[in-house]
Amino acid sequence: MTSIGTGYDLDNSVFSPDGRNFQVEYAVKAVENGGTSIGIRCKDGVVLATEKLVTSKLMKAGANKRIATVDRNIGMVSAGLLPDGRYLVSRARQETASWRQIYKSPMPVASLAGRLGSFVQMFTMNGGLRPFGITAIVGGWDSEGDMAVDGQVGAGPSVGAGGKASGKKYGGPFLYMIEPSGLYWGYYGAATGKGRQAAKSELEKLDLSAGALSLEQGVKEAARIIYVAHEDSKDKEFELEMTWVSGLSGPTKGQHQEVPKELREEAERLAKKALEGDDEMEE
Amino acid sequence: MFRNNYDSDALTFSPQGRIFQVEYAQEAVKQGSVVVGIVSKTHAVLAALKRNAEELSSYQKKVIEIDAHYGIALAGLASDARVLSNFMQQQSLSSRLTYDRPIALAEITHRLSIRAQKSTQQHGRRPYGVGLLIAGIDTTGPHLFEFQPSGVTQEMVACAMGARSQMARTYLERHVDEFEACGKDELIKHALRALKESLSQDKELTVDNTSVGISGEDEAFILLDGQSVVPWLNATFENREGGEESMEVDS
Amino acid sequence: MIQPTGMLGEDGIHVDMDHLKKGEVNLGTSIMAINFKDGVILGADSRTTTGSYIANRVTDKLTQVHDTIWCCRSGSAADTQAVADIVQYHLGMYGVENDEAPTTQTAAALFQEICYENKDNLSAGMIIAGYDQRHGGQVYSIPLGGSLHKQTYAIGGSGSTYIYGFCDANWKEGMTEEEGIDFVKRSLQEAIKWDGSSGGVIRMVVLTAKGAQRHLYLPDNGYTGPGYK
Repeated sequence: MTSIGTGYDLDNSVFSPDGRNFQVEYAVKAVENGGTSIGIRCKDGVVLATEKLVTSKLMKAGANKRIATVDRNIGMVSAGLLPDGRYLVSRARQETASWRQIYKSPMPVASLAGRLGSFVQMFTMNGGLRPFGITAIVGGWDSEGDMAVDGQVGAGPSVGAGGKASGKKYGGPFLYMIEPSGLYWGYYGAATGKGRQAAKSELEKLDLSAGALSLEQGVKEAARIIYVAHEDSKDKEFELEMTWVSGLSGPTKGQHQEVPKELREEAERLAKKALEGDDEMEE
Repeated sequence: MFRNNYDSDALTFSPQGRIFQVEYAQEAVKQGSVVVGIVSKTHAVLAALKRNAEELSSYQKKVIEIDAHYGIALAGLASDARVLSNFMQQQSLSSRLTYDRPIALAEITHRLSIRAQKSTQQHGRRPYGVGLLIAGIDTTGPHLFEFQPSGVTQEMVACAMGARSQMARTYLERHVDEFEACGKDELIKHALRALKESLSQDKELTVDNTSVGISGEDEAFILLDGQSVVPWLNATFENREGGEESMEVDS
Repeated sequence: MIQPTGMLGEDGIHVDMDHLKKGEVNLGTSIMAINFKDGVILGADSRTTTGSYIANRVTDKLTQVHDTIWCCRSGSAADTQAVADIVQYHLGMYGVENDEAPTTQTAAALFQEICYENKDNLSAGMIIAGYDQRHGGQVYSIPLGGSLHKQTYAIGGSGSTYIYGFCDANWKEGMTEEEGIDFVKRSLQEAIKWDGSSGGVIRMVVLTAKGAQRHLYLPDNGYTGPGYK
């Protein structure tokens, strides 16, 4: 059934006779036009990367960051309508802040994804709202260490608490992707935006579910995948933006940060080299 | 009455994923008279072409000081800009009151963006019909931000918006590599030249229709309007024909 | 004269001891919680007073707020019950919404928030103790002002003043369950002996990987039994 001209696609809170919500489907179209964004869940951290299209040479290079830090341990990037992405980030920040206010500890990534999923869903159902024109990727690290309570007096007893179950692991890397419908899943590798198909097939080759890919390797793969995904719009200039978050023993000590310049440039060099290699093989 | 089914409010996506009401709001910006902004390593400058409704009326305000360290230039619906400039002034004051610190330009731009986004996703409002250039200086140096009705904001090295602004943009793109090293004087001259590019043939930059705003390191934002803009017009367009005549003013 | 709870008297030196409303029920109390090798043990006497009248001689001052997170209550019975109820609700919601049991620190944070934000209206001194697989046993103390202290063991209530020395002298890190129970029992016995507002039976809860286990010791036989149940 076609959507156009039926009248069922004009309002967000209306079903078509065959049970579709066309406004949500149209919102997805807005996502599909945005620059490619990906996230990779590695064994010791998460990488987020985005293809930032340079629409004008008057734009300030290196400014206009697109990957946001939500809480110290969580990052977020989206594809689609830029202001919608920014609004969802501000909502995510409110969620993590209010979580801290109540529980005095950082919000688990899974809980944040759940809250954002519900929030985005609300915009597909209520009249007087439109769906979000973005797909958001949320990546973070839940601390593996003992959690303190924010504001607790003193560090507590020096002797460890008794009765800990041994051999169990807690925390770790988490990655979620939230769609305009409010649907969200956990991922090993997530991709959205214009080049998502190419990016997805590259992500699948990495066998991420085996949990063998290291964070540093993940950074290089992320750079390469963004470059591969950019192939279809080669004529447009872009900047690669990458962030990462590792465990307490890793390079970022549990915090979401920009990938250091040297490492990013090295990853970009390798990405370009890999692309050239591909071209030669085709010849 | 409408061009299609999908353009009657800002809450409806077209089948292509576009929001026409927001795009139409962007058109309002293109109807406004041209404004230009440039930053160097030390200064941020705004230049604007003012319009008057008729011969005897006054000229509209195009450059507004928001706080001691920055100002805005507007293109589009002036009354919408007034709402936004009030908002920015309040936010800036509250930053000084609460933190004893001038608000960062990236921060105020972000707040503006969030505010504008809401009127593209929530019922009962229309998008703002105005584009802004936000220029000034904060602890991280001089900045220039562009703001669009969609809520899109971008930090720029140089920018022009409004009617016929493409000509100004072409000028800016041609000189984009020179801006960083410019001093205050050179920067203002560049801005005025870019502005002039966008004028139609029969028009000139005059004491009446030109506004300049500038701020720099240890220099508060100042608005150059009326007589105070004359020296800059003279310095920028030294050898223009009939320049003297258009600059003479009985005030 | 009516004075806000917990405020100093007019002379600025003496604490207002008569802060309860007329007829309000007070947990003139001895409570404590300790860490031991496998988890935590909470203990309390069972006396509840209204002025000099013992309103309840077999009170249960050990309150469960989640599977293996419990608290000891001292101060106003009404206030501490209300606070524990609120925290129990929040922890229950947390468990359901996040598909993961709350930790002891989460509980402690919730208790603290309520006790601090409402300090002017509350008379509540609480000890939070819990066990979870990730952190093992933990003991937090939240005294009158609403501050939060993580401790190896905590004592509280009017009876605790008499046993600071006793506990300090007899405390050992990493006790066995048997040693821990003995430590708590002997401490509370001393508190009951010296504190007029403490008395009755001794109740305990042992929280370990195996869950929560209650103990009861009666004065009739010198607090030797009946033991756990």
